Amino acid sequence: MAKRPTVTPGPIAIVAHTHPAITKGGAEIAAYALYEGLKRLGIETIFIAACLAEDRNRFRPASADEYALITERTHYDDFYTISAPETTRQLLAILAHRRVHLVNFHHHINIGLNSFRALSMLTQIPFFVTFHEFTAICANQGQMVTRPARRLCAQATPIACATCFPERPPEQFQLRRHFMLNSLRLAAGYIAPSQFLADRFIAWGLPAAKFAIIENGLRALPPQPAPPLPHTREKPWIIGTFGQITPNKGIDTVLDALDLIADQPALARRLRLRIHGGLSGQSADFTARFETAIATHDFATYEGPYANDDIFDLMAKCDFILVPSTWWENSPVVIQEAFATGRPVICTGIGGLAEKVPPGTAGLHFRRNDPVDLVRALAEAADTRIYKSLCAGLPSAYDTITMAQAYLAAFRQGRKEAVLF
Amino acid sequence: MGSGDLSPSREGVLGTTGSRGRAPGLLLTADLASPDPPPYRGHIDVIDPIRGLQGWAVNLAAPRNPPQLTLRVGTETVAQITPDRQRDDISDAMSQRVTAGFLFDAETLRRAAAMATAPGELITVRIAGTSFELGTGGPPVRAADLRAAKSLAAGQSNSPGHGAEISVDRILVIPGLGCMAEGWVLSPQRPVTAFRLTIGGVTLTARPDTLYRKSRADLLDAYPDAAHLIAQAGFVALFTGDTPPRDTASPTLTVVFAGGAEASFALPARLPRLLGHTATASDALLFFPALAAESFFPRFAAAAIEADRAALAPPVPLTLTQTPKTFIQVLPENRSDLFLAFETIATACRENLIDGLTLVAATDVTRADAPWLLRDLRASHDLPATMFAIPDTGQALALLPAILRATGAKRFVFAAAGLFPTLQAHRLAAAWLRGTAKTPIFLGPEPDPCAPPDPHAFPSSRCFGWTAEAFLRWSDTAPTFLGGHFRDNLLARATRAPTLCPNTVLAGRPLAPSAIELAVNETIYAAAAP
Repeated sequence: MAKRPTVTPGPIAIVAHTHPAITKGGAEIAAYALYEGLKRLGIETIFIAACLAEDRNRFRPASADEYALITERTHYDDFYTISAPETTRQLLAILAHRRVHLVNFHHHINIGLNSFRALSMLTQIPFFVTFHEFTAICANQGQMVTRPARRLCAQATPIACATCFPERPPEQFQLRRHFMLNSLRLAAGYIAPSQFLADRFIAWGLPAAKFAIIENGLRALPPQPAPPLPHTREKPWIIGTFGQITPNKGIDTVLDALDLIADQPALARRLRLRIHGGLSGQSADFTARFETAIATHDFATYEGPYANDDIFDLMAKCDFILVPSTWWENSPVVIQEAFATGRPVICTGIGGLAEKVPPGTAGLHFRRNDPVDLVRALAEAADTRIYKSLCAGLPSAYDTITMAQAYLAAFRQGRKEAVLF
Repeated sequence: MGSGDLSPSREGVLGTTGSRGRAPGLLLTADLASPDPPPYRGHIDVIDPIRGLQGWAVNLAAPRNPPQLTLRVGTETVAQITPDRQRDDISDAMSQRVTAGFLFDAETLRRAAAMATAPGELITVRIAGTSFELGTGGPPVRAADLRAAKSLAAGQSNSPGHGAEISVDRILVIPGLGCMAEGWVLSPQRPVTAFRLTIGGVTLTARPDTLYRKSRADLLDAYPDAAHLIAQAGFVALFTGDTPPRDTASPTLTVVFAGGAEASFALPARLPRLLGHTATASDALLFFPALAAESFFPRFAAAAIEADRAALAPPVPLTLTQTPKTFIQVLPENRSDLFLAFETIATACRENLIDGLTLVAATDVTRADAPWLLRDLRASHDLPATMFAIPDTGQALALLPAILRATGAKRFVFAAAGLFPTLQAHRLAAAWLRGTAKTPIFLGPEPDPCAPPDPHAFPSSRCFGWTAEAFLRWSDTAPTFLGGHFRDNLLARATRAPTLCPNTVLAGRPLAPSAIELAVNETIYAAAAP
């Protein structure tokens, strides 16, 4: 039997399912931002990222405080999110070696819920879990949209989930929920970047008292928001989209909207749509449709992929930032980046998007998957008075220091209430 | 089957009713001549809560690539399937071999019916990604109709009278010995007292001592108000007698009601399954279960059981460590569940609850992952562990004697595939294996859904702890098994032999089903609150 390692007070470990050097998802970037924020506050912190064996050459630790959990894709189950025992051993060894006294997991995929359980049973180290989407609740990539119809899902039940995944029986989803809840309940506390996300997990079965709502901080902020772009009657309104170009992110709706705008020449003259982001990995049909739309409509341009460092400059050249996601989202970083740049957001009026962008104050909403309503929102936005009003109502963006301070407060509160600490 | 009408039955719907036995080639030719023909053809042959939803579908543009089908209730997609059955009639009509037949099983169909949110919602099958619906040759099927439908199972078209509903699921015929019939009967007015079966010109009467009644929970959806009848609706009857060697023509079941009234029920000609020379010794035991109890025949029963067991592929030890006490876990064949099973075992190991471990893995699916997971587990916990590979984890219980002999176990706890014992269950198992619990334990929850809850009444072969000596003694004269599962329902009643580990024979400690995580059927439909 493994011995319980003796853990004395030491650093905090931020554990993410991947490293920002390998992938650029919102969760790993937020985790790394927290790690940087804690360090800036003078808190001894280490960053541990799961890393697939085939990606190990791309893992670039910035300091000796960054570690990789080398995992094998073939030694992992993504339904229950159970990793190989070796992953758990690596994690416990790093925690013992660095004498960590508190762990904050920023996902359970790749790391495995079995690691949470082992950490709880074999050590006295309390751990906190930050949720970035609904993976524990929903097996469909944590998006809570149905499969294959991609309708929004309000509640996961074994029967409903088995309808999305006919290859799995309802009993397996009941087991999944049971296993996930039992494992996550071992945590001392939970952090959600949006109240919407927290509410979903509370309704699912996690205790509300253990939740703290903390917005993701941005690793870099512009010195100050860019001033609103000046407008004349002739100057078109520039709408920018940023991020991976996939149907999930609502680009289908944007392409439909382009066709509708083309039918209204007066509106088409007043709008310019700039689409930023990578297009790789998409189906041939989707890519062909996208390229045809861009070639057909001269008021839309594809700007290609961009470097994260350029995001604020690129956004500052737009009047509005468009976020047409078709799933609930949590707290997309792109919204924080838009606010930091001083740009209002036009987004789908659902879930975390609706929460983060108060309509009429920081942006405008349109109905999900509804190109007609998107065109309506774009036409409404193309108005100097509304634009200035929205620019004046933007909330401040979080930086890493503010985020880290909020996390420390949550850790203190959670530790105080945690029985096992 | 319907009338064979070839005309469109609804807008956008084309199909043949009664597609079997009639060449759809005529239809295909005619439709191809139309100005803008849809490229698909298909038909729903059967839709009922017992047999599920069956039919065929082809893509005329690519007949060798069966189109994906979606089962829908209203506008909701419930399930997807791709035809995977050969249909000679469709192949003949297409003049090439096509895989056109499909089946949405009864459980899926019942789930679809239960999902309907309005009484008028239709159950339909579409070619995935299109609006092309398969026709039924009759009116559209509403979910509400299906829930309330009278069964259309085999031969149901002939009502036996007296308000009774009857379905016969299977008939097994062994020439010279007799027949076994299995099915269900709902008779709200008078109880059924006897059955007679006419087959091949011979009339046989069911032996009263072999008539076994059982619950048929699967009828609850179709007959929601008949729960009291459903509890005893199922029947298995043995008709012993000199059945002819080849002739199974004109099978007819006659039901005798209390008071002497009778009603005859014509069965489909294809229903009887004639075993002929393929009949085995255990088939003989099925018809003459008393053989096992006769003082001059016990070795015959043992030989039959041994023959059954020998017919199975023996367990192959992948790694063998002899241990006097072992927890035997049959690993699930689903890969995700396999990981969960190992995590459950690892959790018990961390709590020091497992001293010896024996794993039984399926040779195909789980064998790829199970060995490295075991290797890792052994390395982590310094655990004496053994692993066997068998072709089908459902046969694990039948092969348990060989497994016990190979491991040299004196005491063991057996957990069948699909069980994920909780820590509480592992604590009980450890207590039995370590001798701190003096009585065997029985953990298997397999309650009859129609019976009153009584955990003491349901020890089963799913999960139990016993001594190897007692188990081996029991298994030598245990009821024979079918497909790896002991026929404990039928033969235990017929022979009055004990089911596995009955409390009345051997005192034990039944455990509530909640101790085992897979006992989820009872909670799955409960509110989602934790």
